[in-house]
Amino acid sequence: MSNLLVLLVVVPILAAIVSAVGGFRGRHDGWTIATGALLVTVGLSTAVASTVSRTGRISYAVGGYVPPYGIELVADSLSVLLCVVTATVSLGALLFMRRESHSNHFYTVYLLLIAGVFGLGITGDLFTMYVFFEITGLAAYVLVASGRGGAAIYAAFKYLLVGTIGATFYLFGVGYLYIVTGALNMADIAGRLGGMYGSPAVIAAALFIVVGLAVKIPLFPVHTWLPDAHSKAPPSASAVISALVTAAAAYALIRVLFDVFTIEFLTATPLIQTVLVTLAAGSVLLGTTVAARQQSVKRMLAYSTVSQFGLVVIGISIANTTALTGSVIHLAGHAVMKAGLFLAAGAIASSFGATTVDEYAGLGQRAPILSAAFMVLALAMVGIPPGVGFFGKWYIVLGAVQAEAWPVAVVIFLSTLLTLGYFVGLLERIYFGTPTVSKPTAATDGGTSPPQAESDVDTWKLAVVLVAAVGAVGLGFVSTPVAGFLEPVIEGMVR
Amino acid sequence: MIETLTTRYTYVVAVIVIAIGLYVLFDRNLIKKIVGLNIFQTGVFLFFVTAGYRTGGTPPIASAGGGPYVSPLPHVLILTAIVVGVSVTAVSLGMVFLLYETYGTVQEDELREAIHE
Amino acid sequence: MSALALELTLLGLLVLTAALTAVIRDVLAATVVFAVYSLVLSLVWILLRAPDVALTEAAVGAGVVTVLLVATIAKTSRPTDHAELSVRWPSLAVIGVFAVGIVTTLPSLPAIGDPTAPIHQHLGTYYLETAPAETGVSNIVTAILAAYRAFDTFGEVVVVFGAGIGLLVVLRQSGITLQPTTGSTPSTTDPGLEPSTTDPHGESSTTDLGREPSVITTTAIRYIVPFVALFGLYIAFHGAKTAGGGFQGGVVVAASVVLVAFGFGIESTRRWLNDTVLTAITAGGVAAVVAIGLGAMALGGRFLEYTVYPIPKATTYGIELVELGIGATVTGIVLVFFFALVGNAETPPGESSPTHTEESK
Repeated sequence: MSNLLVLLVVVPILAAIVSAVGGFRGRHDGWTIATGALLVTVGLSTAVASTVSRTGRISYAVGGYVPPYGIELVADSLSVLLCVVTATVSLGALLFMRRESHSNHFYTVYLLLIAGVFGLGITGDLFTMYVFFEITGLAAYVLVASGRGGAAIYAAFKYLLVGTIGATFYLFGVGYLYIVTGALNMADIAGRLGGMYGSPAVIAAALFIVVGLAVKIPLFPVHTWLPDAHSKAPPSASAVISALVTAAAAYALIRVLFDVFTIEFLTATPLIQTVLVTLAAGSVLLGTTVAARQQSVKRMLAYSTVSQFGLVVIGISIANTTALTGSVIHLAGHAVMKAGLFLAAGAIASSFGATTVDEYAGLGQRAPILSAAFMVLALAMVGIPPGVGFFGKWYIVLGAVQAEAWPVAVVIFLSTLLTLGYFVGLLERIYFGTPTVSKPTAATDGGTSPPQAESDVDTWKLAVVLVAAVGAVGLGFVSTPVAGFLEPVIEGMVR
Repeated sequence: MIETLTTRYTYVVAVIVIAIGLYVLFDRNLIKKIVGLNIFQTGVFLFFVTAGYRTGGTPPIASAGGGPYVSPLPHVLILTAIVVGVSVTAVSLGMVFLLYETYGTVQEDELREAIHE
Repeated sequence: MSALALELTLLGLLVLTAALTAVIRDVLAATVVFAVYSLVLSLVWILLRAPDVALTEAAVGAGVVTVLLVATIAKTSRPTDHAELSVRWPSLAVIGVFAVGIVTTLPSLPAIGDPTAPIHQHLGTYYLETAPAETGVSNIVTAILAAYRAFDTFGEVVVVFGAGIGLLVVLRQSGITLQPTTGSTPSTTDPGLEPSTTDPHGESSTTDLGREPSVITTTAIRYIVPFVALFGLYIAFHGAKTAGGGFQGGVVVAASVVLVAFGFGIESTRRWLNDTVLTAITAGGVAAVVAIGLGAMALGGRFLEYTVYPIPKATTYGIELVELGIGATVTGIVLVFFFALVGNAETPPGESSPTHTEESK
């Protein structure tokens, strides 16, 4: 049964190979292959989730070599949540692309990205995590570069440089850990690290790993690659990268801080938490304020990712049960909401040519369903209940209050208000604005048609966005059971 | 501290190489940046492999003579990392080439201007 | 020369070449110095008793990376400046402080070579003691790579594979595909793309460089290439017993094809390379690793659990097959890198080349 775990990684990779071969032979069945593979992963991740909920943590020794001599794959409720979200969101983004034409090779890279994220979610070995970060990263850089125009390539290049530097810093940190413990398996290292907490080598390890992950989450001040990368990439790529790659990085931070270094180390070295919470607060404030000033909707969404993950890292750095639960729920919920928002923006751009806040004016009349879905997603992101965004933030704030971290709670309140401000501003344009004179959109739909009616919006795109909107609310309703599902693991982490 | 460093001088060299790599990463020419990225990474590799060294050790190949062997695990990790590095380099060079095709330059400042015009 | 003197010289050369790369302004010169750096680094790896890493570094760092860098430079501008060397002092200062900070953490690490260090206990001793017997393979690095930590290696092949495909996706935008620009190859996935150059002469008498291939080069290459290819295969096949393995062997085999391309013409070599064969080895390598892994699962074991296969010395064969699979994919993808970046977009004979000097600020 635990074989299913490794299949989460192997199935998308196998499909990627098949798609690539097809691509070399001039076939165009990439979408079908990818959809088939991701449907299978949805099934796999659900099966693994149910096993974990019944029996608790699963461990899988790849190759039959007992860890720590072999590589261990691990699934507990945290990893399972990430996997289920990854499978569903990536499938959704894929369905969104039904009517777009991409080469087989594009789908190969897409599948590799998803395989990488799964790998990150289930690995129990620090070096394997590095390899999968590179798989995910490489695929992400390529997907960003496949956007239109030179700006996308430049954004991809910057992302590549910063991402690789981050991965190398992560590796450097792992090196320190390996040198002082002689181990690479997460649990193994944790067992051997005791008593060395004060050593400069261990602190250096923690700092380098945190810096490396901070680049990928991203965290202020190394977040600068994100707005360009996420806004210039094709919509499905933005959706998946902004939702899943970021979530995987935050998940990795949680794993490394609490399962490898453990809460004892964090308590003994307050420096780490201080650094994290400061950078995270910076992310929140900067992300929110800059998002508010954006004209381009996609850039607004990109900066919103920065601030949302600032919140997630705040929860991580507070390191009590409530806050950490909030972080996990938020990173999962954000995946659904942000993916939905990017996809909606993509649909709006391709059907109506509207990419800036001004151009969204009057969209409410021309595209009632799409606008409604966008509204639901946006309000969920702000944190209006019963959207899932509310629960994540609520737990984080609650945790901050419990830990008496008042400045942090204030920062969260302020940012929520500001986020409410700019999203409501956008919604007001959509519903109460007068449509501007139609601009021929050369880049998006390849023609010069004026804004069309909603009936022209591709059904698949509409359906996926609707499902995302429903999901954002639905997840809110199941937040409490999910929190209960996560509780044993999170309790274990912070005690 | 200088005394302890005499038994760790290869680590110091590794740190110097890492620093040089980082320095080159801030060059304005995109291709030089990639060279810098490679140097930066090799510094970290040197860090790992040096750690696996053992005084009087031999390469970890059983048929080539007896122990004591140096630790084989860092070699494995760095082999993987080198290959990953070249893969990323190849993709990055493809991007640089495309940028040149589109904007006619591989200097960072000129590119930024060209894109924001 | 005593061992210590040799070591210090090499390390000094390492720092020197790295520093030179940093201060030389001309990109091509810096790249050449980088190749020297990489070669010195290979020597350092040998000094540190890491022959596998040395092989890989030489083949990949000084080999593949340099070729790709030079190819990219050849196709993009080469800003030359009046000053040959330059230093950006502010950056240097900041990075210097950072470096000093890291150096302060070094004393808390065990001394280099200390046999009581944690790295030589636990995993270190386990692999050294158990691997040869348990896997039947004497190169312990190969044993770990292809057996104990095979999942990492699997991930690595996937990275290589993904990079090749990814490069094609990235370059698609400018109409670059892997298909040679003239000749009788069937249409690619994108019938709408224009070939970027036309070569009216096309065939064997002229290369795409627009001139006759030199007799010296072609004769020399004709004699050298078989040995290089054989050496590559040897490294790949023999990696279980001696230093080497799939990666290094794959790169060297690819290098032999690259050598042919440089001597006889890139486009003609590309046309000579059978598409089906290239696809087969590239995808086949990764697919073989997946198949071996899944096969073990079908037989009731775990992914890549060789011992489940009902053949004698299953682990040894498993390791060797996986290494070959890796070698195949690496060969294919390095050739993909090469032909995608170096081939295509060649200037047709008669036009001026795209290099031009620029004023750098």
